[in-house]
Amino acid sequence: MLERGYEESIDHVTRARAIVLAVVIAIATVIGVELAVGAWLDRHGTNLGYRYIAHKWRVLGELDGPVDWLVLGDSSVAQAFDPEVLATERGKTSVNLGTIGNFGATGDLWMLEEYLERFGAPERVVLVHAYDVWHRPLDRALIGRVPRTWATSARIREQYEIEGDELIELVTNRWVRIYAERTSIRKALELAWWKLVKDDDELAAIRAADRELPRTEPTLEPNGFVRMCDPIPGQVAGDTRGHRKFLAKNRFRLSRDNQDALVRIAELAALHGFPVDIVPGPLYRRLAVEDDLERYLDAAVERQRRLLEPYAGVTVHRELRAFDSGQMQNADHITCDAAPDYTRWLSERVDPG
Amino acid sequence: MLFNSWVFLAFFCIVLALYVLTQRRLSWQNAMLLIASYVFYGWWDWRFLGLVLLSTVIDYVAAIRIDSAPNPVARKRWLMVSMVSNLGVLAGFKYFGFFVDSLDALLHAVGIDGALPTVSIVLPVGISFYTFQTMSYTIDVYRRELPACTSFRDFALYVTFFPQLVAGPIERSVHLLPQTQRPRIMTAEGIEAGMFLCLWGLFKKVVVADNAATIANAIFADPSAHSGSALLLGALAFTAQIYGDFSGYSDIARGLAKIMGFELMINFKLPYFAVSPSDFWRRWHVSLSSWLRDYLYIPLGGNRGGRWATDRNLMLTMTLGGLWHGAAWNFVIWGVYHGLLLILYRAVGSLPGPRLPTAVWWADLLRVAVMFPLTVVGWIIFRVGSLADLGAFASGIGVPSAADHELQWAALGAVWLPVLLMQLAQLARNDLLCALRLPALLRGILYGLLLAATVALSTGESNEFIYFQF
Repeated sequence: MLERGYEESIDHVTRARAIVLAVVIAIATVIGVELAVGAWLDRHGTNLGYRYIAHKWRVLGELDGPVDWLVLGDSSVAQAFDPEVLATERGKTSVNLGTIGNFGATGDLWMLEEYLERFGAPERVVLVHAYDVWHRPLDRALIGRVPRTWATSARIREQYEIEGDELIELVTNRWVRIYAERTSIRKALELAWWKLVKDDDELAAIRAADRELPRTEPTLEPNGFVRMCDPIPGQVAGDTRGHRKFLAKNRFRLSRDNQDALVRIAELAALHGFPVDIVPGPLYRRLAVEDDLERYLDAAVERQRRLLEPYAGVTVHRELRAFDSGQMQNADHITCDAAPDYTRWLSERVDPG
Repeated sequence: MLFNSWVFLAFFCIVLALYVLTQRRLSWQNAMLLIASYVFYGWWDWRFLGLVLLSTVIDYVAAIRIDSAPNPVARKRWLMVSMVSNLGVLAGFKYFGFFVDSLDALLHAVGIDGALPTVSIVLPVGISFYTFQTMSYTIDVYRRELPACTSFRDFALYVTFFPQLVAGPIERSVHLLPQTQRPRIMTAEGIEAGMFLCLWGLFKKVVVADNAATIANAIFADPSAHSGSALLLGALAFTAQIYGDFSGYSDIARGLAKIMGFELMINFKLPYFAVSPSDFWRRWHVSLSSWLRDYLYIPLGGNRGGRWATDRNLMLTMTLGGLWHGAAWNFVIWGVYHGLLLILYRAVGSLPGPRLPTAVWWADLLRVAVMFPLTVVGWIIFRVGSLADLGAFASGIGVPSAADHELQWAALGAVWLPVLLMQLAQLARNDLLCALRLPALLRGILYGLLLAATVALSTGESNEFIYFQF
């Protein structure tokens, strides 16, 4: 029987038309897989940052009316500002569009522009970023993660001088996610396997041991709030050490991309007549009282105030809200239990009335 | 220029366009293919081109001289010129360092240190493949199996034809050379079969071999640090890796050639379904094993000289076959191991007594169940970095241990499953291209899934093919 498998035959006649059909179906299959994998990654991908970006742009796209407060920023605010709390306590509608730090203020600007185009000026815009994101340039490759056709347009490529490998990365991030996110696909498949064969305790241990797996799964709410409820005090301690090293080595610097985006946001505020508040994200209590942090934050606020001085209605806040490690997942991300506290503090800070 | 790279994709698209444009002029088309082949080879290191050109010139001239020689002595003299040149190049570039190192180790063992200089020679990619190919041509001309090729261009194309230049199949002159001398016809069947072979080969390389390699490399890096089950996992992972890698390359090579209307020989015929060592060598790297049979084993006397002579010839052929794979002792041991298996099976087969029935599925399955682990043992010998590592495998692999590396077991199973399913279908239909029998709709879906899986499950590194080093 196993003397078989030696032959190869192409006697079965293939018509050119059948080949064309097979090729067309193959291309359609690849596109189908690309779309399906993309949708799956947006919901189950192990890179939480990418999921936040996809989710927040979806929230913005599905917004069916204007809101009072538009809250923009990075992942620290994504987990800290709960629009439900603001609605209950202050009677204000809002949406939380915080994404990730490497987008910086440029991501805020793009979301604001889309919002303004569709709904006009909101009552207030709040930008919340962790203190240590302002020096970062916009991660060009991330632009491809924005689920909008303009993300790969010539305008964007020229504006951010994207070419060569960066351009390839941009295009694959936008259109060939099965290639660009293959690491995430691999990790997501691994996680799916672990979920199948391990109990909750074992799974938690695996997550803790693998830095590429999220420690906990977020709930991405329709108002943009990212509900993360498990405190990870061990991670807070480790992350704080990293922050201390950063603060010891660095003086405040505002990247060109963030500077340009902030100025443009201020111009839009002046043009449309809405106030903008720039507020620090939540921080671990022990880190918040350190001298290096105080110095860094003073310099940040001073630089931003100087930059935005010509524009009316822009307020740069110096105060920050600190939390204990039992309420945090790392040094600048709080749990869902602490989110109402931060939301309350933020609303009183930017609108005491 | 690796088949699994964007550069190669661009290169092949350009070559194919020029190939179609020169379809009406064979001479132009061959010249274009020759230049493309030199570009392909020179992409690694243009200095190697001199060596392949030298080999081409020597065998081109030697074969013409053999063909036109007035007497057998002159014929033999020119054959020797070819053999000595080719084997000399091989010995110089591939084995010289190995022999010097081995001699140095021997001298060290008897207390003489530093007597020999350290030798470091860069191994030109694919040298073993094209030297064997050109040698077979000269021998075939000597045996009057075909006339000497008078067109240098066509002969050079036979030697350097880019799909098979660096890792085979090692084509016979009687098979490939005539194809360079007559117009090739691009057919719909050939194009689709070629596309399928390229896709399937790429899948085997990128999804199966490269992913299995990450598992195997970690375990083979330090076998003594791993449990019995992990060692088994490593061995099986390398078994999958080397098959996916080498058969993947061969499939792509054959597919590229098929698209252009060339036929290259089938190099892998479901080798892990082999029922015996001799069957394994009829299925694994067929172009090398048949070369060794025709140009070494049979000239040595084959099985015509009685049992001991046959065993000697088998052992010699397999040992040299092992050494062909690389200048290292583990390849020699691997060759000896396969020689012993062949001798052992012959000995057992000649014993009187009851035998398993032939052509019965359960008996064949039993034979495969015996042969496959023996093959895996061979791959352990092939892959280990040192004799100490081989010892660690030998002492540890059978030791029962708690289950570990669960994820890696699952990953290996997941990447191997599609290959197994395809092979079962190929076996059932007795057709390695049985996928082409599917309706166009299903074929399209299959191609799409293969392509998507290759893109999504690649490890992200442009990994070289294992057999390039040989």
